[in-house]
Amino acid sequence: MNEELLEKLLKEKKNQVYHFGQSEEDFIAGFMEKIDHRPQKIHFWRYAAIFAAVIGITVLALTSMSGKTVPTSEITTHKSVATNNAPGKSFDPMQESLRLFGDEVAILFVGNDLVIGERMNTESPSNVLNVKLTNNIELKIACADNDSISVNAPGVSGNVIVSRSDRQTLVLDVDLFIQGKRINTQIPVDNSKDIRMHS
Amino acid sequence: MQDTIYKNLFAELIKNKLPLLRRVAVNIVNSPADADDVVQNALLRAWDKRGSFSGKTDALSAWVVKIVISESYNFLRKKSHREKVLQYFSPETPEENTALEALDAAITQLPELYRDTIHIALLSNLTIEESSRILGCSPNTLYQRIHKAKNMLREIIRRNADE
Repeated sequence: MNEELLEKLLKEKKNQVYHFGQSEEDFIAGFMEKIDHRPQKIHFWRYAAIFAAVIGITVLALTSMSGKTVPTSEITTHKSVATNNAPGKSFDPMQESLRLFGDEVAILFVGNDLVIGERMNTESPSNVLNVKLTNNIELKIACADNDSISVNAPGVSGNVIVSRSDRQTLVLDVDLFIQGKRINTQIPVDNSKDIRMHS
Repeated sequence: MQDTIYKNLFAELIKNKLPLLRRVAVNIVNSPADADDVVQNALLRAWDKRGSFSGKTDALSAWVVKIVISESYNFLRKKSHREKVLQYFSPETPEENTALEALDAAITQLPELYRDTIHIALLSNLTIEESSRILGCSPNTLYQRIHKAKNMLREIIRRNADE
């Protein structure tokens, strides 16, 4: 392509005319209405994240103190938790978090830390993926085959977009800030051996 | 700063910069309705981080323009995922690419720095001085970036056409 043709194309694109349905006033009114409802949501997630982190840390501390896998019934008296984790069955923080928070919340573990965010997909997460982002950082994530997850938690923020490439492979498009470090990478994951959840 | 002050700041920003924000978004997503959604989301992202913002309107608008670009490309990625899924169930022959679609595809493939340069300095009706303020560089540096971005665009379009 020559320079003249590129200039012509750029000019054509720049001069394209679009008509926006909303007036400026409507746009501002819509935005103000949204931000009026925004703070409550943020506070809810902040408290939920703190609550979940406290539970996760307590469980991990108890597990490491005993030096073996602790059945959930030993570390909590919560009746519904105990019934879902029969004695002898190992405690899986991811499965437990999924059960506690449900399908609409994105659940990630960065190392041992539980992080929750928002999911754009309404399907149940059918995959639990384990990926090594750097030498020190491992990410465990529950997601559907095509999923878009956004996180805005203290220490971890950004997006993870999941798309199924073929029957065995999912591609994770990771753009996360973890403890101030940006991790922007695409990772193919073979999930043929992963545990498929049936929730 | 209190939320009322931030609200006034954001209202002023929208009043002054909405045409620019819409233009940047619509150049990427190619649909006015989608562009408005993208701009709303970008403003909400900026609102969520308002605490880290110093209070200067110019800095706020530069920041929001960059968020709009990144949000627009996020939107396109999500849209392409949805379309991939739909196409799986009802495969159709893709329409023939026009020259403008080829240009859009090439801009998408540019590194972020040059992609932002194209959208802000070339496609948004801004002067070089305004663009360089938003991009945080001197006008001279911006001229160099524009030159390099155009060379890269030509090369990508040529390569894409060969494939």
